[in-house]
Amino acid sequence: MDKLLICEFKKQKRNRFIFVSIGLITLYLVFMSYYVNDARGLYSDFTSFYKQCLGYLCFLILPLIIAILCVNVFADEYKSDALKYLWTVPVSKGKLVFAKVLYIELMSLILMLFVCLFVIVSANITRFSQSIDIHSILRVFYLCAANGLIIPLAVFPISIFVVLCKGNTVIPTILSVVYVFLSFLFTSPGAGIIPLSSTTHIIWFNNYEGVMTNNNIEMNVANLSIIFILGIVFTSSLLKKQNL
Amino acid sequence: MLKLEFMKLKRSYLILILTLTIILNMIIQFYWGNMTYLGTPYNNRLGWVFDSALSLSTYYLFAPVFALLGSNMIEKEERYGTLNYLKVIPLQPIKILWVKFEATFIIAIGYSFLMFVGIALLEIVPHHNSITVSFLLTYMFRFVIHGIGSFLTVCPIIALSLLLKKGNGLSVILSFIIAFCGVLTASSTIAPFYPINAIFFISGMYNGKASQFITALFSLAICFLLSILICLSIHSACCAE
Amino acid sequence: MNYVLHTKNLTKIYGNQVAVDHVNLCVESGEIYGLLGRNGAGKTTIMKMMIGISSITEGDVEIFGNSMKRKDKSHILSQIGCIIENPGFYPNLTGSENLDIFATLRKLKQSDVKNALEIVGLPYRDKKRYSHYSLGMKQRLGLANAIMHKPRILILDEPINGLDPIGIAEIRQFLKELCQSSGVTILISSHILSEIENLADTVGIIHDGRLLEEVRIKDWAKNLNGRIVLSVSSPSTAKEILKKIFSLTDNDFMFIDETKLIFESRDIDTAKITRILVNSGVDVLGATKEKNSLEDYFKIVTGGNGIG
Repeated sequence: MDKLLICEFKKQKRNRFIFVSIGLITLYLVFMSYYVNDARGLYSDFTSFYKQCLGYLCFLILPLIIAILCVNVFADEYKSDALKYLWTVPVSKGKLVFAKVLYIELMSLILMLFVCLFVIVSANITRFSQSIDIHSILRVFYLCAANGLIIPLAVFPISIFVVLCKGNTVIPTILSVVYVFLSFLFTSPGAGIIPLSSTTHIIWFNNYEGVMTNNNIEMNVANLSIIFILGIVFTSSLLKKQNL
Repeated sequence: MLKLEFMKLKRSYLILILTLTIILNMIIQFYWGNMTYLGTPYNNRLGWVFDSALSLSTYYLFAPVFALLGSNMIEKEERYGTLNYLKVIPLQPIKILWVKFEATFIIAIGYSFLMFVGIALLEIVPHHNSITVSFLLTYMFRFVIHGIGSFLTVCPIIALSLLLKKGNGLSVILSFIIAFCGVLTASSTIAPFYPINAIFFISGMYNGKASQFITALFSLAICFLLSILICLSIHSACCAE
Repeated sequence: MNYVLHTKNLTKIYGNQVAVDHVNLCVESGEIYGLLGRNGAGKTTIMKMMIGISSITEGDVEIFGNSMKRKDKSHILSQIGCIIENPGFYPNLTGSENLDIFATLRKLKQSDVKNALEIVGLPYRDKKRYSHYSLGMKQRLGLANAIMHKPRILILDEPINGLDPIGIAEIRQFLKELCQSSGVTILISSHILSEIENLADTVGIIHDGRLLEEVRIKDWAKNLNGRIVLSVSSPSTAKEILKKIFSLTDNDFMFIDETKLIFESRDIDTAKITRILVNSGVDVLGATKEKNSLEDYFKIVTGGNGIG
C-alpha cells in the first residue's frame, strides 16, 4: 500500500494542477481578505474574518478542486493507457483505489494547511491581529484540517463516473460542478442525504461561529460514511469487471 | 467548418448532461418557489422564478459549463492528435481556435435559451392569466444576454486551456471561482467592472446609470479582447514552431 | 509436451460479434511462437485474455498449468512481461521515471531499471518526457518495462512497430538470445511476416477469430514448395503440356496471361521444363524458381490478399 501511495505521488510529478489550484486559492483568499478587511461594519474580529474566508472556500471551491483532482487521478490512468500495465504487475484494484483515496486526502490536507497558514498570516497583517488568540488559531487549524480530511470522502464517489466513462473527464466534471453547487444550495435540507452537505454539518458542528448546523451528527456521519464506502466498493468492482 | 465542430459532438453524452442541468435548475426553482415567507410562496410574485433562475445560472452554472465545453473542444484536438492533421490541411491555428469559439458561442445561446424555456414553464403555469408576450420576450432576451455575457467572461479561460495541460478541470475551477465571486461583488462599487456583475447591468436586471451600463459593456469587451490576444499569441507561437 | 501457455477453446464475444472463436493454441517452453493475422483477426484480444485484462467469454487460458480464470493471478502475472497494443506510460514523466513506478510496484531495484534501459538502447535518467518520445522510443520503453523483472514468458503485441531496421535487427537478436540463453518463452504478434519467419519457431495463423493453422517453421521449411515463373510465347499451350507431362491440375497454376505462367514447383527441375517446352514448339523466354514466402503461405491459408 505504501508503495502504491508513493507511486501516486511520483505519477503527479510536473503536474501543474496542484500548483495552479494553490494559485487560484491564493488569489481567492487575497481577494476575500481585502474584501473582509475593507468591510469594517460587517466584520469585526478574527472569528468573522476566518469564517468568511473559509466559508465559500470550504463549501464551494475546495470541494470542486478535490472533485476535479479525483477525476484527473483516475482519468490519467485511462488516458495514458497505463492501467492495463498496472493490472499485469499485478496491482490489486481495491488497493489502487485506496491508494488514490489516500493521495487525494493528503493533497487536500496540504491545500487546507496552506489555507490555514494564509488565513493566520493575513489576519495578522490586517486589522484583525488584535483579536487573534491561541484558541482561535487552534480552531482555524481544526477547521482546515477537518475540511481537508473530510471533504475528499464526500466527493470521492465521483470516481465511479470516471471509471464508468473509461477516463472521460467531461461528464464527471460537469457532474462534480452540479454536485458541489447542489450541496451548497441545499446545505440545510441536504443534511443526512447529500454527503457534501453532511460534511458541513459535521465540520462546523457546535455552532461555534454561528453557522447553523443540523444537530443530528450521527445521521450526517452515517450518510458520509455509507456513501464513501459505497463509492470505494463500486469503483473497485467496476474496475474489476471492466475490459480494457 | 462550424458544421464540422457540431459533427464532432455526435454521440456525445454532453447534450444529455446539459439537458439534465436545465431540469435540475427547474427542480431547484420549483422547490425554492414553493418555500413560503409569511405564508406566501416566493413564486407568487410574477417574475420571481425567472429572476432566481437567472441569478443561479449566471453565478454558478453558465460560466463553468461554457468554459468546460470550449476547453474540451480545444483539448480534444490536441489529445487525439487531430490538431496536426488540421494544420496540415492547411488550417491556420487561429482559424481552428476561432471556430471552436464560434461553436461554444452557439451552444451558449442555445443552452441559455433552453434554460429560459424550461424556467418559463414554471412561470407560466401559476401565472398563465397575467403573463404577457412582452414579459416573456424581455426575460428571453435577458437569458440569452446572460448566456452570451457568461461566454464572453470565460473566453480568456477557454483560450488559455490550450496552454494548460489538464485544461478542462482548471478552466472549470477558474470559471467557477470567477462566476461565484460575482455574488460577493454584486453590492460593491466595482460591480459594473466585474464581468459577471456587468452582465446584470447589460441585461437590465440591475437598474444602473448609463455610465455603469457602458462600463459593463467595456468590461465584457475587455474579456473578449483578452481572449483574442491569447489566441493570437498561441497562433504566432504555433507558426514559429 | 511441456506447454507453458495453453488456450482451451478460448472464446470472446462482444454482443453479437464473435471476436475470438474457440482458439486452441499451445506454446512450448522456451520457444518463440509467432501469432499472425490480419487487422481485426483477434490477436490482441487473445493476448488481452491471456493476461487477464479482458474477460473470457468461454474456454480457458492456462499459464504454467494455472488457469487465468482464477481470482488470484498475482503469482502467474509476476512471471509475465507484456506489450499490449501501445505502450502505456505517463506522459509527464521521463522514461526512467515511468519505469521507476513499475519497478517500485514490482519491488525491483534501480539496477534492474538501468539494465533494462541499456538493453533496449534508451538513456538512463535523461530529461526527455515520455510525451516527447518518438514512436520507436515508446516501443523500446514498453519492451524495457516488459523485460525489467526477468519474466519467464513474454507476450508481445507488435513490439517492432515503429522501429527502424537497425532497431528491428537488435530486438530480433535480443529476443533470440533471451530465448536461447534464459529459456524465456515468447509469444509475439507482428505484421512483418519476414521478421516472424526469421524469429519464430512456431507460427499460428489467426483469421476472423479462428486459429486456422499452427506451423512449425522447421517442418514448413523442409516441405517448402516453391513456384516456377515461366515467360513463354504461348502460356496456354505450355499449361496443357505441363499438365499432361507432370500430372498437374488447374489448381496448381497460380497465374496465367499472354506472356507469363506461374505454378507450384513440387521439385520440378526448370531445365527439364525448358527442354520439354522447346521440344514441343513453345519458345521459352525465361524460367525462374522462387521459394514460397510466409506471406504466400499466409495468403493461401487465409484465402485472402495478405496481411493488410
